[in-house]
Amino acid sequence: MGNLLRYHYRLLICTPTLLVVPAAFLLNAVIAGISNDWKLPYSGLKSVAFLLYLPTNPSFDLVRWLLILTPYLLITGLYLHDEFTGRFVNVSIQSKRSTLWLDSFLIVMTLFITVGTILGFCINMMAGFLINDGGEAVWMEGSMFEKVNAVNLLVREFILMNGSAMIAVLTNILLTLLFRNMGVATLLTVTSIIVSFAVARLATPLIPWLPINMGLTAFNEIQPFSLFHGTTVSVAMIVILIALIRLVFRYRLESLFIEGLKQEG
Amino acid sequence: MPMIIEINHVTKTVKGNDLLKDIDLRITKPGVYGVIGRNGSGKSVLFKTIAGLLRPTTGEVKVFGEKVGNGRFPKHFGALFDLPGFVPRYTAFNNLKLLASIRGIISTEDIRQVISKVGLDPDDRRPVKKYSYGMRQRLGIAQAIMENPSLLILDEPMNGLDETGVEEIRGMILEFKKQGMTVLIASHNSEDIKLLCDQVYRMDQGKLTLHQTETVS
Ligand SMILES: Nc1ncnc2c1ncn2[C@@H]1O[C@H](COP(=O)(O)OP(=O)(O)OP(=O)(O)O)[C@@H](O)[C@H]1O
Ligand SMILES: [Mg+2]
Repeated sequence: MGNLLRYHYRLLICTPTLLVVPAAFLLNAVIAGISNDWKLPYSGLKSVAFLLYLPTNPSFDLVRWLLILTPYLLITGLYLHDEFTGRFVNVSIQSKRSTLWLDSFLIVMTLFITVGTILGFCINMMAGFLINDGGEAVWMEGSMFEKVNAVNLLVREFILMNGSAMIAVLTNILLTLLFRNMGVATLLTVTSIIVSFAVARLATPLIPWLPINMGLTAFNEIQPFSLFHGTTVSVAMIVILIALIRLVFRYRLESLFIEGLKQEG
Repeated sequence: MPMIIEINHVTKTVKGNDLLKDIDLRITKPGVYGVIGRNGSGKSVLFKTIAGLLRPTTGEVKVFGEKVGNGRFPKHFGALFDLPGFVPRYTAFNNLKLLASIRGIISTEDIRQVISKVGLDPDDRRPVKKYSYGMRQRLGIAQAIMENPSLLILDEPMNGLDETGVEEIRGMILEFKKQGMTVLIASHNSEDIKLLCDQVYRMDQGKLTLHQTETVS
């Protein structure tokens, strides 16, 4: 197991892949900067939290949300694709047990997401401090964002965003195994993020029960729920997804060995 | 003496097609065993079943006394199948090093040696994606033999190799035989079969029969 962890670690957690997630966070901060005329309405840590406080602009912020989640999906998806189109057979034979390959992959993937999010938050931190303050926060008057302190906001954003990224990636893995097609899986995962976003806007009482979009912490303004509740729902979803992935993996193993993934196109 | 390969009444049915029909095979002595047969007769399916990649529909496969299949693979075992998969951006050396790190039983010097042995350059800085078909095949063979397995499965190893490549791989297989390794080989080349094999089986529409026996020293 230790050696397989190292195998996945070497291939998945390398400089190019680790740059993509923070780059998306940077882009998100730039978009926030532009749309506020480079004058954020808050200062210090609060402006850092502000950059990731989504959705504040209902329709456009879906794009920002997808921008943040897509790199996680693409990198883990492409990795899985590469594994299943060849390497997986050799690696399985080397490791003697296929389930070890899966379990160590899931562990390293979790590490990848967490490290990516930490780096993303660092970038975001810098952006928050660098972009000027002094803008006006018209719509924010009397909001939760103003009442809650910055550290609490950041902790909430970090935990729930990480949770959402995990859930999105696990969904993508599950769908990849089911359809044996990375492109279709990613398309369906992105669709489910969008659908979940639409449901949140149309049926606000459901917001606390849409784990794939928990990281959209500004929904809390419409339908408040505790961080504890959000974490519990996310963890439950993660556990369910992992159980399903392990099940489908065993069921799919033979066709993965023989045919790998279907090629896109 | 423990059986090297033991196949008991194995059938394999996929979507109503019988790919393997009641196969029985016992290999007790080390040596080179050939499997011949027309395209689509089931040679690769048989090899993948022995390798534990395919689960028999009925019956069981044991390698060195242990049941394989269902996510369990033989011990002391190396294999080459049609499409050896590597990390395209890595060099040959780094690819093998990565795979070898999973078991951690051979040194980097061993890896360099095995790369030279199959006629590639361990110091080649080019990534594997720039390799030709034959070079990849050679690397696939290196991957299969690098940990000195007791059982080696080679599914059409001469695919895409040039004449010297074929000669080199033949020489290697004969050397393995001397070392007491068991090699299963599928080939369409009657020369290979004649030169290398102690025993030859024929696959015909999923049925396995003994083809001929001859002793090659
Ligand atoms: N995953 C699969 N699903 C369904 N049928 C398969 C699968 N893999 C192989 N087959 C079928 O099994 C039969 C035997 O295929 P196999 O690849 O074992 O032939 P082979 O003897 O190795 O042929 P070749 O000499 O061309 O390599 C073929 O009819 C093939 O279509
Ligand atoms: Mg074949």
